[in-house]
Amino acid sequence: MSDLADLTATELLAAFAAGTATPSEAVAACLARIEATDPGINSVITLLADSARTRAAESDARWRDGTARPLEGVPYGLKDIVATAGIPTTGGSALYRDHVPETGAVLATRLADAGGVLLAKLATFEFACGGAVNKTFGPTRNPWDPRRTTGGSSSGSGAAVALGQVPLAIGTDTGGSIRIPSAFCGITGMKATYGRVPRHGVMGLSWTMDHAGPMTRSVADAALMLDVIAGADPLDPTALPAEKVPFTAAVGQDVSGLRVARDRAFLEGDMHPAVAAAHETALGELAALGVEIVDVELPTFDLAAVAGWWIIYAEMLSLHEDHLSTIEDRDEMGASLLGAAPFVSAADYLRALRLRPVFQRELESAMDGCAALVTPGMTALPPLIAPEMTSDLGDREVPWLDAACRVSVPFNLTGSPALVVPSGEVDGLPVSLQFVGRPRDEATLFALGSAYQAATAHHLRRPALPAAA
Amino acid sequence: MEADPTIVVPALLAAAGLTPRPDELAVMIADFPARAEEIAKLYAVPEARYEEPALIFHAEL
Amino acid sequence: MYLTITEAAAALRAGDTTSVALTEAAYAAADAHDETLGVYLSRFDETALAAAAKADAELAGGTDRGPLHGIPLGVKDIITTEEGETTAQSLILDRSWGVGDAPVVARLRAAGAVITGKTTTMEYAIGTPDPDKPFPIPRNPWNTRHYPGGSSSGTGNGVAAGLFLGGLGTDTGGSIRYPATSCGITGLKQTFGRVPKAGCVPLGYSYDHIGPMARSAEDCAAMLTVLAGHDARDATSVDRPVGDYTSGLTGSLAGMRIGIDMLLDRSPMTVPELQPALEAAVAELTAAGAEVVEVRLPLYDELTSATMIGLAAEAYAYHQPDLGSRWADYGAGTRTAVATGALVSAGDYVQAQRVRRVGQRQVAALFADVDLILTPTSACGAPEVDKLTLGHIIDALHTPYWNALGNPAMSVPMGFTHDGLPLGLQIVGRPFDEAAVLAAGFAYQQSTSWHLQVPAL
Repeated sequence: MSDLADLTATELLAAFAAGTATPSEAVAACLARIEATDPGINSVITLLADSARTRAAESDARWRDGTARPLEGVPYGLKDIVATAGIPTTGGSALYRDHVPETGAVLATRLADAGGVLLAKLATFEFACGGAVNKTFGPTRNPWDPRRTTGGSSSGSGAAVALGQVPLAIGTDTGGSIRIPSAFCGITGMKATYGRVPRHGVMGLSWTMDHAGPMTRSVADAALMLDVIAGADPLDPTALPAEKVPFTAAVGQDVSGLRVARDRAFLEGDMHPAVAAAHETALGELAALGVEIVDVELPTFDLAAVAGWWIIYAEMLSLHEDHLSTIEDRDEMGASLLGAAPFVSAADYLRALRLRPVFQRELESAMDGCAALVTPGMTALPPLIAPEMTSDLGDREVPWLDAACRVSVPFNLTGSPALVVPSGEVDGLPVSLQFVGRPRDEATLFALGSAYQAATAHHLRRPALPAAA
Repeated sequence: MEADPTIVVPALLAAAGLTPRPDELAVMIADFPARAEEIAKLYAVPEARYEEPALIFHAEL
Repeated sequence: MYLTITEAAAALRAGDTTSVALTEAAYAAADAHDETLGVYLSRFDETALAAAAKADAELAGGTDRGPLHGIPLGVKDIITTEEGETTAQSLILDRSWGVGDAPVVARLRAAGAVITGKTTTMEYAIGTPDPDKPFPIPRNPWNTRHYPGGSSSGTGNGVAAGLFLGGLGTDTGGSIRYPATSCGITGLKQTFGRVPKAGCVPLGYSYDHIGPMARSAEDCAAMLTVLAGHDARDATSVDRPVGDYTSGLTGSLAGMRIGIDMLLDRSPMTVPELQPALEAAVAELTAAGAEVVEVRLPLYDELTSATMIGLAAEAYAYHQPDLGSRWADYGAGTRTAVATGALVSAGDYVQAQRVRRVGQRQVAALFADVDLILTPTSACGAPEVDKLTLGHIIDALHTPYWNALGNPAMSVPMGFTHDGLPLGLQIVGRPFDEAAVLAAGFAYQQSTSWHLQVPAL
């Protein structure tokens, strides 16, 4: 029998239901995987082995009693900016090394109430905005090539899911922080519509750009997890009400005949040639599903990235103003971001806010007649870990955030749902597709992503595990 | 953060491309410390530490 | 000239006057006093008299559009109208901006109102008068050496001097309530989002309100009934049912609990007449059946700052394209006020928006115990025009606090200073509870006559 650590949540639940595996065995397998892989990768900040074993035993009983809940006994990890009651929540920062929240985030409570077993709090760039080299906890290494970064800021979530340390993890995404590490680590990541997942209890970076969401090894798992964590929250005025039809119902739906838009000018501009070539191949696979891919134009989207950063800077500075006095204690990138923020004037911020509906309308009209937009999930391969990382575009090196956020941050600005799925490899490293949908239409993305994963095996490719294990 | 208004105000105005008359600039420099104090008081409201701003964004237009 | 909309409306229906007569009387007052007072930027005599004639014909034919039918009203010149051009009292504003009637103007016309013209404002609704610019300097009809308050100056002094029976003002930090208290009339800044702002030149997007100004609370209720309601062209317009603003005007405040914060120590400009005027107002409201208790407004300085800093930033964002290149074309008071917005960082602006939320929670907690809150509108009477500075205006006013919060707030006349300048009582309600605010204002005006005092001109 295969190692339970390699199964998806959907597969684990089927095995639990069939009685061929138990939550305790799954937790043991994941703990063993963490023990074998984490020393070289560093995705775990706080391991919760004992409480996880206790919770798993309760789940074993529930499966026996027939009272299993939707995620009963499935191990998961949380990015360590998600508050957990009685469990340290560091924000990836020395400033919060000993911080133990009294109450958990709404999404953490929902996962626990659905029967999930919290196995670990996972590494993050400091406060979700620092650099790849976390001064306090060390860098998280890419499971496909430990010299390279996982991307971030949900670095631990990306690596842990790719390695089989957990089948499910929560990441957060303000400018791409779910989708970038998902793409760099070869997993599936979903930044749902703004407001879909309540943010209460998740350390904020930017109120109007922050999203939390699933990072998994399959589209089906992402839908499963989103069904659990989505829904209205009286504590979060931006939270959307639940949809009538669960997202899992969209998995496996026929997508032939759907039209999907692509924008060659900006969203496919400035790519590494090998990544661009892989993207064309992936689009060919998508077309083979019966999806019609049509060219559209997003003439001002180059500004969307700029506007997005203005908003992030402004909101971040208000939130972290009281840390400015300790700025020298912060990681280089967090400090430099915060250092830059005061020079964003209120007028710049307001201009960015006023541009926002312009980009929303531009995307809406470009997608007219199309079910979704498809873009590359990444424009370059994961960079080598360094304090000042750059991305290789083939003919030149650019600051890595410019390359990484180009295809991600515009959709934080518009609030659109966006799903990344592995779509091949370049030099042994994963590359990805991104599907972007209309607001609240995650279902179409799950249908497209699951159809793509049913027809291809990219998402099944896993990094090599250390031989010592 | 103690900033010298005779440096900060002209710098911010220059960055914004604004060129007030000298007497207007003098008034803005003179008024700046009081404004800075007001802003400091905004950051000193303890309940605002985890409060959301009165800005609501919707993904749907 | 009749004093109030209500009185004129009754006379129209009794056959004692006509809309044409009311409109002609209004223009006669303008002919006599506009030169001195600086009420109008443009008059619409021809269209107004035609509208009045039509209103008379309709009434005669049995078509009655309600209390505003045939009533002459003025419109602050930052709100667009079908006639004329909208100037914002500025050399800057592109005259091709704003075509046709703003939703509020269209609603007034649909209710039969006669729009007499566009009234003076501080340039772009902010700042102080600039004598070097080719625009009238508005003056206070109670003492023409004094300012009538701003920025809705022309609507305020025009109502007080009988140049029309009511009109539209706008209020971002107090620009309806300040001229109302200064000129001895009633002005209502209703709940943020209650009245749509499309077709109005913005000052501070998240603080701006359009609202009614007239002599009485009853008149403001009649106007608000017409003005309120959702319009999707304003993204901040709120889609919820319009309340009944008139049936609660009974004169009785039995069962109502009212808090008062006299704010006497909150302004360096508080005059000695203020406290006795407030105490007398409390006595009147108590006599009408209300229980009045002392309260302390939370975060007073912080929320005032949250308005002033936030509106400066929002105003600067709007004016940035012109302010650098056309500095001298802006009025002196406007350009320096707006330029302070360039000194506000993005983080500071967001922080101000966070403090607003904290304030909303704390003031909502206060409103759990009381139905209304009273404060003075201003610490003193209107200043002299020649001694005007924006700093002094802000020091005196108790209005900006409520723009940070969005609650409905109305200024009603409550007496005079020793030198004959009007003082105002500010009545504030829970969000969307304009009915209670108007009911209290009406009850107070049933037993007092401050709002019916007319300046000698």
